[in-house]
Amino acid sequence: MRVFVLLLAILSFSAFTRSSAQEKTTRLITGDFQGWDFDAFVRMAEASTPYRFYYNSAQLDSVCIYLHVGEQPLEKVLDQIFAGTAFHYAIVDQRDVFVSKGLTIRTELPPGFFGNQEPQMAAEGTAPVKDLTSDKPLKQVTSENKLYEIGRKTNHILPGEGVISGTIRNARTGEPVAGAAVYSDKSGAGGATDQYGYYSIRLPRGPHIINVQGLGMRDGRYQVVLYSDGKLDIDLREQVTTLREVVVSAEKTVNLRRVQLGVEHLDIKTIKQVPTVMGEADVLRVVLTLPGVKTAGEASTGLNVRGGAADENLILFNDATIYNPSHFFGMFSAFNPDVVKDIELYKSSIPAKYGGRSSSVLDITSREGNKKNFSGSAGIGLLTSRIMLEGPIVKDKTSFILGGRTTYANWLLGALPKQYDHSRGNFNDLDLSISHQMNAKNTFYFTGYTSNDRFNLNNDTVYSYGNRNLSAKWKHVFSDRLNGTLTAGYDRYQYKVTGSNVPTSAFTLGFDINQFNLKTDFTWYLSAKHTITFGAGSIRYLLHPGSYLPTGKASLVVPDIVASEQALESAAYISDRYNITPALSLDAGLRYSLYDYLGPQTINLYAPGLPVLTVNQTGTKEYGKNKVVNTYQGPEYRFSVRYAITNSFSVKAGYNSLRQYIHMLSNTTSMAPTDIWKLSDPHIRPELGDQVSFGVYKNLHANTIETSVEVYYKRLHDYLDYRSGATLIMNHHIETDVLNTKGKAYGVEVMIKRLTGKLNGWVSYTWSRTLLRTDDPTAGETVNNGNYYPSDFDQPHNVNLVGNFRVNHRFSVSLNAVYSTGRPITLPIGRYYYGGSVRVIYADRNSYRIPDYFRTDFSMNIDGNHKVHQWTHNSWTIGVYNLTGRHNPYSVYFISENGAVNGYKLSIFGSAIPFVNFNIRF
Amino acid sequence: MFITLSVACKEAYVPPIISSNNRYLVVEGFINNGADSTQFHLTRSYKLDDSASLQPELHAILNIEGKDNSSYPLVELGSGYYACPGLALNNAIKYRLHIRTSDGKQYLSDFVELKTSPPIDSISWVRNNDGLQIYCNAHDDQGTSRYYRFQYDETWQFNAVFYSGLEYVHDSLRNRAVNNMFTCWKTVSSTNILLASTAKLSKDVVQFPVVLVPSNSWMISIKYSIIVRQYVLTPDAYDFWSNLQKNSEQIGSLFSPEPFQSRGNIHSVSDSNELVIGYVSAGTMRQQRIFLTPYDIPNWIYGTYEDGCHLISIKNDPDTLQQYLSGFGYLPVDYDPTSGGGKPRVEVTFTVCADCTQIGSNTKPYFWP
Repeated sequence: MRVFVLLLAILSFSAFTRSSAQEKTTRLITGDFQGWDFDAFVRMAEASTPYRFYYNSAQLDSVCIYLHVGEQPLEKVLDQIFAGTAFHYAIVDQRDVFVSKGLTIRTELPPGFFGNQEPQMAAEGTAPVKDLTSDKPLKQVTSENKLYEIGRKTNHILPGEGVISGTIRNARTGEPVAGAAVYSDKSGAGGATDQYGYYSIRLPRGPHIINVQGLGMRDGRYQVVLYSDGKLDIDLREQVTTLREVVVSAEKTVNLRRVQLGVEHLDIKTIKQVPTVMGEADVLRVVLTLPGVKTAGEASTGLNVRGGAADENLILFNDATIYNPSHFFGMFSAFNPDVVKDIELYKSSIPAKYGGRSSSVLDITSREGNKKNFSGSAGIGLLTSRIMLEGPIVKDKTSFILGGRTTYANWLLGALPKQYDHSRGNFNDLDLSISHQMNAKNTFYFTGYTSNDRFNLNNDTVYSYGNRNLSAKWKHVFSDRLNGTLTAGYDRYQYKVTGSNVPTSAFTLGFDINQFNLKTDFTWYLSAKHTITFGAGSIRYLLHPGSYLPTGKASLVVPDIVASEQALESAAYISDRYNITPALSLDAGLRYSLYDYLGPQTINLYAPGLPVLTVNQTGTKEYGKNKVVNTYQGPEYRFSVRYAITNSFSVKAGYNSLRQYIHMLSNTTSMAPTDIWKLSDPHIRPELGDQVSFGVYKNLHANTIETSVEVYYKRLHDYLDYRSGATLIMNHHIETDVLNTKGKAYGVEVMIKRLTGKLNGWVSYTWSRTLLRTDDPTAGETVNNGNYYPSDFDQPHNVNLVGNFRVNHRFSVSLNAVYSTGRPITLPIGRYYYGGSVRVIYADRNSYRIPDYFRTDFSMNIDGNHKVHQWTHNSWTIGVYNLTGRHNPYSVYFISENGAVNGYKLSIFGSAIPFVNFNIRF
Repeated sequence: MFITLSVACKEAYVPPIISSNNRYLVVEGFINNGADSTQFHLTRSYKLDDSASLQPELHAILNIEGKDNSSYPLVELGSGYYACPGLALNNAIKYRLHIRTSDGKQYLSDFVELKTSPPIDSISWVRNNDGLQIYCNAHDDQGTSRYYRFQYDETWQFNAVFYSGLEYVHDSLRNRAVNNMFTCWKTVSSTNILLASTAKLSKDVVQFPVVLVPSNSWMISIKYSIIVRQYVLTPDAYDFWSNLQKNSEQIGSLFSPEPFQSRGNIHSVSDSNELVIGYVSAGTMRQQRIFLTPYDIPNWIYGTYEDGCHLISIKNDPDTLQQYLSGFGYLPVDYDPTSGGGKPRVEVTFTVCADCTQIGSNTKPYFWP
């Protein structure tokens, strides 16, 4: 019975494919053939149709034709003639007909033909792939309906497994497609492309249908016969009709299939449709709408991920570490949206290849330039303008992408409160990426990035800061199973404050941090069950913690330089993705990091057991150049496991730990441009963070709706807090002002996401707490009597809605809504009179909250026409930020003015802010 | 840009009422070594929503104690003030303040070093676009001073806007016999914490902008005077004042640090956790006074203390006069020179416009020339 059904299915399927072929041809055969030989049939057919026949007449002399056909396609006629015989035919270019006996003639060369001198005729029985791969009718797919033979062909398929690897590229631009899912229909085994578009999957030998789903690309299905390890490069076509407003999720099941927890992936198309304050797509603003990500205030792009501080996020832009990711008081993020391809935020399961920060990794990848044509885009907004150019340097081999932005934001400062009347601010950034594909095995990448900010707030003190980054990478494919990258880079962050109010005290305050990186990463597709990644790397730090120098001849400022700091951070890691069964996989990683604080350095010594204070200092110890002052080291564990209960339902659990050897010193609520960084030294221990998490993932409606619930519990050790009134800048003994703090953070994150269809977006709800405790008895000072207190960004309830509705192909509207509990503040509990004025007494730290935060933003995206062939594509973005005009408090404070105490609530955006942006693509 | 935006905004904020029964002791004062008296002011902190202003701490016993076991008692002056006349202390030793409150609790300050302020070189001023900027200049060739705190009192003489030439007595108008409400003096003290540090400079030279008299202010209309007092602090005392300044005055900007409760150098003997507010410093204070008139300052066009002052012409009949002048709202100025006829109309004005004692005091300060 079952066999019968199967046969029926195959038959009906064959009928379906044939009939569709029939509709396409117009060269029909008509005639009554009674006892004709094949030569006669050919003469008739060649006379009445454009077909030309090639065959061995001697082989076919036994064929005798009895047929009556009326206006039938040649294929159908030949099928009937050859039914039950050993003859096969093939039609090339709708013209040439080859007839063979016993062997099927393949009409196209197999992929990799020229590198693999195998005959291109397949053994009988292996060719009709459709019969073997599936018991369901095969869907007709465009040009992908051809058979690819992978590896060294054998007459019989040998038992065992083979590896298919290759690169998936955009057929139009030649850019690699990252994050595309590649999997086999039959075995369910699969993988995803890495950021270079490279994939490697291990499958049982034999026929397969390989599915490829790439972000914004048409889904591809490829018929493959796997004989042994081999290569399959695929060019995917773009979803042209949708242009930019629709996100086509390639990751339809990635959330279920990936082993890691707490990973958020956003591509630039999603980012671009979220309304932002001035209408320009902003990477970090969108990250803030994800569950578990918070910020202290509107004028801050410091991210707090699952209770971590702003300095505990590793922000990478093409492998370069960005120390200050914001422009202009945090209102803009420092990344040009036209250059960014996608972002990946790791909140919990951080891959073993990343390290050095104790909370999260935000990996921002820029696009590779178009390898085929020159193109570009530009945008004009109320505050900023930007331009992007890309194109081939050597066609199909080398391409560049160059992006730049500048601002004319001074008018906005004019709209600030009167106290900022004479303020000025401007910024710019520039990035260049070059990729060069030398050959199939070697690819080189180069990225340069620079950003500059300069502003003064109502006086002659000018602040400026900037990032400088260079990175070069070599990717080498050793074999189908092993590939690796070698990355070298230089990252710098610097700031400078110049004050010239009073000539006698005119000064320049400088700070900079430099790091040189070198690392290698390897991926080894060991077997279908094991994928091993391993590597090692080092970072050499050079910090200039502060210099305070006179400017101008009249200045009496004594030059003061805090001694530079040096350190070497090295790490090696290995991790294994182990697919135990198709349903159960785990990812286990170990990273071992080693940190050396290096001379030349003078270390202050303090009496043991007493608070680290200048009064308890017993002396100093000198260390020579490159002498190791002290060493910290330890393992970091990265473990996660996934179990798929059904195809659309999986559960995951994970544990990971991280170590951080560089710390930002800041006692302001939000990240300030004058925050400095400090390396761990004998007094300042590395920060440690570890987290356990558990998650449940369910996809609904044919994987178009993703739902997830994740819970986590995180511990923080040696988090830095500061003594009351600590001076952080130009402090020669910062250890005396630091209090080591412990913390814990826990929460639940619920997310419902729909990334396809007319209506798409996500809703998330987070409940979380972040509590800190400063109770070190040797510190001599505690906060709130050594009890747990909420951190500055402890906002228990948080709801985010990001929605986009595509009215038609040229018009879409987006709405964004945020609600969160107000952040904690320290409120006064009493008043007293001192120093000529009433002043206030403060209660325990962070024991009260500012009013709750609520904001909605709205924007409309209007595209010009969608003709593919035209000089430019234009679009407008028009919208309103903070639609309800709610005065969301940034801070609440009490100030003594003219002898009295007044309480104020400061809102950064105290009204609805309209914006308009014009974008052009060419 | 055609859309006018008000981007950021600052609004008054009324905090939630926090029930806290705090009544912390607040100690303010300076152990002055020299001819001037030493004075301490003891108060208690009060609740945020308490309408009461100052809550003085009465009947306490205060002594200044030297490390050499010397002791100098202070006398209670009332309203929480305690003082003793000029002291001749030994610069080589440290002193502290000992307080015994009426409830029997004892408080001690840390022993503090005597810091002698260098003399004030000059009080100078510069006329700029915003007004008159007054500076205090000092230097210490030894370079041991480094941390300075300043206080000032501004006093100025001014006239009422209108001279009241008439008075309304027994339901009738007559020429005023004595007008002691036309010329007055007003004194205000600094309300901000004024600190300067030369710790980062190669020379211990301070040019401190003490106060800005706003452009064309009525404060400099007849004669203006300022006395600046200069104290030298220890680094620890400077930190205390600087933290107090950060927490209460330099707060609320985008990058301000979070507020915190700073502690001074006074402790309860019985309970070391008890919060006592204040910092006791000791040493010799220096002061200097200058006088200025509007003629001393280029382009100084002064205004009046009340912009809304004008004359109102009323009928000179008993009913109208009674209506305006029997209460306290108006004062008669003069007869209306423009009115003709038999009985001239009367010009009156708001009381504050003709009576300077509403604003200041008509007692000439002892130091006024």
